Amino acid sequence: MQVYVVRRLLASIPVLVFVAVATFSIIHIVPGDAAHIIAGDDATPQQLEEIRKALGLDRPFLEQFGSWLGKVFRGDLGTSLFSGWSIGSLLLDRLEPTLSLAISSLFMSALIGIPLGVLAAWRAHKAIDRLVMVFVVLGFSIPGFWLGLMFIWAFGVNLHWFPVIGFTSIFDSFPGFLRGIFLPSFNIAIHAAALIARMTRSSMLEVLSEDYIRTARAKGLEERYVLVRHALKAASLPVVTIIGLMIAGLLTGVVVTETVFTIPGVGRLIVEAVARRDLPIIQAVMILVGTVYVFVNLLTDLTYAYLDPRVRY
Amino acid sequence: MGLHVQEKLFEFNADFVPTPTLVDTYKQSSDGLTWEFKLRSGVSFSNGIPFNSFHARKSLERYLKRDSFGQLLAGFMTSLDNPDDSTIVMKFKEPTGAVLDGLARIAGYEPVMMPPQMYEVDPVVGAPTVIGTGPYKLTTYKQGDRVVLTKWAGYKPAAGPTSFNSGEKKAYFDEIHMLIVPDFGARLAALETGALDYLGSIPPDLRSRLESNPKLKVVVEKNAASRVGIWINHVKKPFSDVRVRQAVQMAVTSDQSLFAMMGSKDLYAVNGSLLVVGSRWGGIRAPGDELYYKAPRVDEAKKLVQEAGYAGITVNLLSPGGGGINETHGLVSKAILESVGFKVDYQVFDGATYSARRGDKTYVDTFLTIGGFTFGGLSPLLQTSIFKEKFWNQYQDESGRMTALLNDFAKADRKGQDRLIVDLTTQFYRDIPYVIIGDIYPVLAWRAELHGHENAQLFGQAVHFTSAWKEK
Repeated sequence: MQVYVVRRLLASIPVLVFVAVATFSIIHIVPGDAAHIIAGDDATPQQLEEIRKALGLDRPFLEQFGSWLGKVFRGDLGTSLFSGWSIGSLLLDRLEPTLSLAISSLFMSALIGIPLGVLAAWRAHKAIDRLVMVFVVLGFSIPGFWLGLMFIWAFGVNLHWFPVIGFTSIFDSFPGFLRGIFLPSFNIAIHAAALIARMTRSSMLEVLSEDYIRTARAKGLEERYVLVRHALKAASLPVVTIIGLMIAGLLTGVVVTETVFTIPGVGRLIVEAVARRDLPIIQAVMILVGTVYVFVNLLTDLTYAYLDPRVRY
Repeated sequence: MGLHVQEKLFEFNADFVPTPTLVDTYKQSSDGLTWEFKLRSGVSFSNGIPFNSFHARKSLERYLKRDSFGQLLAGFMTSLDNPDDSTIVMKFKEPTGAVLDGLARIAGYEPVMMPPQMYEVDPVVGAPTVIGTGPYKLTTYKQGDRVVLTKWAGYKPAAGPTSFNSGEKKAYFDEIHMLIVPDFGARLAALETGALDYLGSIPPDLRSRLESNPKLKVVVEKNAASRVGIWINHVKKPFSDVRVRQAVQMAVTSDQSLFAMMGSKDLYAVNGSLLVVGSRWGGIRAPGDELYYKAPRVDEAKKLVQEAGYAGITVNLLSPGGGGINETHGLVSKAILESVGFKVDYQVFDGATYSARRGDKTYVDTFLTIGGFTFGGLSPLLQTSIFKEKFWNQYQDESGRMTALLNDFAKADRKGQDRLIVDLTTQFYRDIPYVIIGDIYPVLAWRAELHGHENAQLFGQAVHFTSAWKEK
C-alpha cells in the first residue's frame, strides 16, 4: 500500500508540470495582459509599454516561465500583478469560504442524495421511486444561478431568514457562519444530491438483485440491515467515485454559487484573475486545482480498498 | 476609496471651481509664469507622518510623470520646488490656465498627496497601499471582496462648507464598507434588505422594481452624465478618410439610438457638444455642429461613403461586452454603421481581450467606450481622444489646428476658454475624432435613511460618503 501511495505521488509531478506549462502557454496565447487592465481606459500606448516593462511582461516566454518556476520551487507563489499582494495570503484568505462551502454542501448532498437513492431502489418503479426521479431530473435541470437567485428572493428578501450576500467567518460568529453558509450550500447540494441519488439508485438496484442479498433476506435479517449493511456498502463504490470528483470540484471553487451569493472563494479569485490576466494568480490556482485532483483521486482509490476487500494495492 | 482617504492641493466644488484643500493661500506672479502655494499647517497622513512641501513635491512629480493631464502640465513647467517646509513653487515657460484644474484633476492618476510609502513606488506600477490625509484610513483590503475604511481621528479638515469634493468633510460614519457584489440580482436583493445602503448604476430595466419600494430612493443623476459614441481608428482605412467619419456622424439618429439604449426619455440627453450635459460647457453650440443636430441624413452619408469608395465593405466593431447598456450600445452602433452602407463584424470580448484588440491599430476599425470625465466631462483637456495620437483612436489632427487650440485652451483664462471651446467644437466636427451619439444618465439607488452624499456624485465618478450620515 505504501509503495503504491509513493508511486502515485511521484506520478503526479509530471501531471502538475504539464498543468503549469499548459496554463502558462494558454494565457500567453490569448490576447490581452494585465498591463491593459492596470493602465485603464485613458492610458496611452506608451504608458502601456512602460507598465508591461515594469511588470516583466515584455520578457520572452521561457524567461518568464523559468523565473516563475524557480520561485515556486523556493515556495514563493509570487505576487498579484494587479494589487502587488502575496498570492499565498490571497489564497489563504479565499480558502476558508471555499472549504466551508465544500464541506457543508457535500455533507448536505450526501445526507439528501444517499437516502433518496436507497429509498428509490428499495421501492423501484413505485410512486416513491418516481417522486425521487422527478427530484433528480429537476435537480439536474434547474440552473444553479437561477435557483440561487430564487432562494435569495424567497428566503432572504421576503422571509429574512438568511443574509443575501457575503460570508461570515466561523471564527467571527458561529451562528452567523451557519446562517450565511446554509443557502449557498443548499443551492449546490440540490444539484449534487440529484447526482448522488441517481448513482446510488442504479448501483443499489444492481446489488439488490444479487444472490447474497436474497440469502440475507432468506435468513430473516431485518430489511433495514440488509439494505444498509449488505447492499449499500457494496453499492457505494461508484457513489464514492462521484463524491470524490465532487470534492475536487467544490474545493477548487464553485464560481456560479460564489458569484450569486457573493462568497469570496477560490472560484471567484480565479475568474477575477483570468479577467485581469493576473498570470501568477492563475498559475497558483491551477497548480492548487491539479494538486487537489491528484490527492482526491488517490484518496478515492484508497477508499475502494476499505469498502471492497477484493481491492488490494 | 481614494476620495475618502486621500486629498489633493485643490478640489473641485459643485460649480467646477478648483478650491484650496491642502493649500492655505496661493498667488500667481504678474507675468503669470510663477505660482506659489502655501500649504496648510498641522496636517498629517493617517500613518502619522506630517504632511509638508517635500511630500507634496514628490507626489506632484509622480503625477506629472504618470498622468496624461499631468504630462500636459509638465510640458509647460520649467521647475517645481519646495523652498521651505510649507511652500511649493511652480515655474512655467508660458502662462497656462491649466494649473488649478490640473491640481484638482479628477479621473486618471489624480494628483493626490502621498507619503513616502506610496510615492517611492514606481509610478508606472502603482503603490500596493492607499494612505492619505483624508478623513478615513484604509484598514482592510480584500482583493475582489471588500474594502473597509475607518474614521481617522487625526484628520484636519479644510475650511468652508462641503461642496462636491471640496470643503470640510464631517466623517459621521465610524466605518465604511465597500463590497464587491458581482451578481446584479444579489446587489438588488442586498439593497432591498438593507445589506447595502447605496448602489450605483442600476440597469434601466430594473429601475421600476426599485421605485416601488418605499424604503429606497431611486434617482436619475442628471449631474453624472456619460458620453456615448463610436470611437474610430484614424490610421486604418476606411476611417482614415475624413469623409467616412463625417458620414457616420451624419447618420446618427441620436434620439432614437439613445432611446433604444436606455428605454426612457428621462435617461438621456441629445447633446452634440464637446462636453457632457451638466458640465461647465455641456450643451454649448458651435458652427459645424449641424452635422450632429441636423442628423440623420442617411442618403447624404451613403453618398459620401460611396464617393470615398468604401460602400459595402466589412468593418469590425469591438465591444467590451458585459451585457446591459454595453450590449445595446453595440447594437445601436452596429445599426448606425450599417445604415451608411458598411457590413459590420460585431465582436464582443472580455475586458482584457477587448483592450488588446482595441490597442492593435492594424486590426481595429471601430470600438465602443462609455465614459464620463475622460470622454466628455469637465474640460476638453481631459479628453485624450481629441489629442493627437494620445488615445486608442489614434486621432491624427492632420491640420494641427486641434493641437493648437488645445494648447491655447490650456494657457487661457476662464473667459478665453469660454471662447475657445466654440472653436474646439467646430474643429471637432471638421475632423470627427470620434462619433458622438449623445449622453446618458445613470440611475442610482440608496436606502431612504442615507443622506449627505447627494452632492458628491458627478460625471461617472464614484460617489463618496465623507460627509454622509444615516438615520437610526
